[in-house]
Amino acid sequence: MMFDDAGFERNDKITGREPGIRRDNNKPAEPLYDREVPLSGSSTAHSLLHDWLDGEVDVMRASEVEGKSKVELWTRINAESEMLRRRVTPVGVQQRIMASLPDTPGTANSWWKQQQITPVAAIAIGVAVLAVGALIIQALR
Amino acid sequence: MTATPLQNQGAQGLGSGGSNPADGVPQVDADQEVISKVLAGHKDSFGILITRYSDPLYRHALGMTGSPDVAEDILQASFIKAYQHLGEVRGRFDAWVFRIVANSCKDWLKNIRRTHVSYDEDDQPSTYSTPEEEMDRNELRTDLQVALARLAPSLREAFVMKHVEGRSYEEMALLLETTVGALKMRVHRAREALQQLLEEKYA
Repeated sequence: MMFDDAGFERNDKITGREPGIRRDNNKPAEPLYDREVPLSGSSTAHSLLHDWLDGEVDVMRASEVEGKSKVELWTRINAESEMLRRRVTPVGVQQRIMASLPDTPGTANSWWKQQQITPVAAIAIGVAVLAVGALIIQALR
Repeated sequence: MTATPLQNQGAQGLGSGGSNPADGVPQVDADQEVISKVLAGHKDSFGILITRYSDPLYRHALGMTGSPDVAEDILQASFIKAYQHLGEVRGRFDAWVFRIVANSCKDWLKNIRRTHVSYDEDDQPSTYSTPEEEMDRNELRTDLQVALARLAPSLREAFVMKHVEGRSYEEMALLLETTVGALKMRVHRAREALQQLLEEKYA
């Protein structure tokens, strides 16, 4: 099982209802990001843990409302996260990156910029080539 | 001084100060100055940008993939890509290069789902005081990584940026080009999912 962004599974458990049938099954599912709506600034018991983790309430208050065990779990997770925050790029990686760089950096990705030809100039060149081609064909007849 | 969210700051977290460029020029302008030098042919100047941003980018890749080797590879490939497209930077370099790394991590996660990873695969020194403490925390670390691996990439990304990298929601919104509200929702859902997965054993 994988936890998704939308929390459908949790809602189904809460309501006890069967998931609704989608009206348009042919329509591709919208990206998960698009389903998100901003949170309101409620301060329910449910969000106190988040408020504490976001530094908005103190640990005593969070512990009172959410329970000691949850707060202890998150204290341990935070301690582990702190350890990871101290990680630095291993020795030699920066040198390895520098050594693997190509000789010249990319200046632009558009071909007309690389060739220093404007789109108008490219069209003019195309028309000229066609005209020359037409002249050659006419001369051969 | 305009500090960027991505400066290398050792153990002090991100976005809360950071190394000032010697000349006192705001960091964003300093980045532009370096980019101009690199584009003018001073390849070595690119090393300044690598030194400035590699640590937070490495931590992000490590948090997302759980593998030091993969994180190194992603970091290297991302900096090479940034160098190859340096002329296309519009706006902030740090946010631009972050998105290259973040997208590479998500691509990697799409292709490879891992159920077990360990941060002890490399040679970083241990900082635990006793072997018992080290064992306890190694167990939690492994369980946390297994739980993280079960989250959708966008939830994992939000959790890593908030808890491991210690960023503010505003920094995250800037780097991911989304809203603070949407990011709070992702972080909250990630926490709830992790709690559900871990509380039976630890709470």
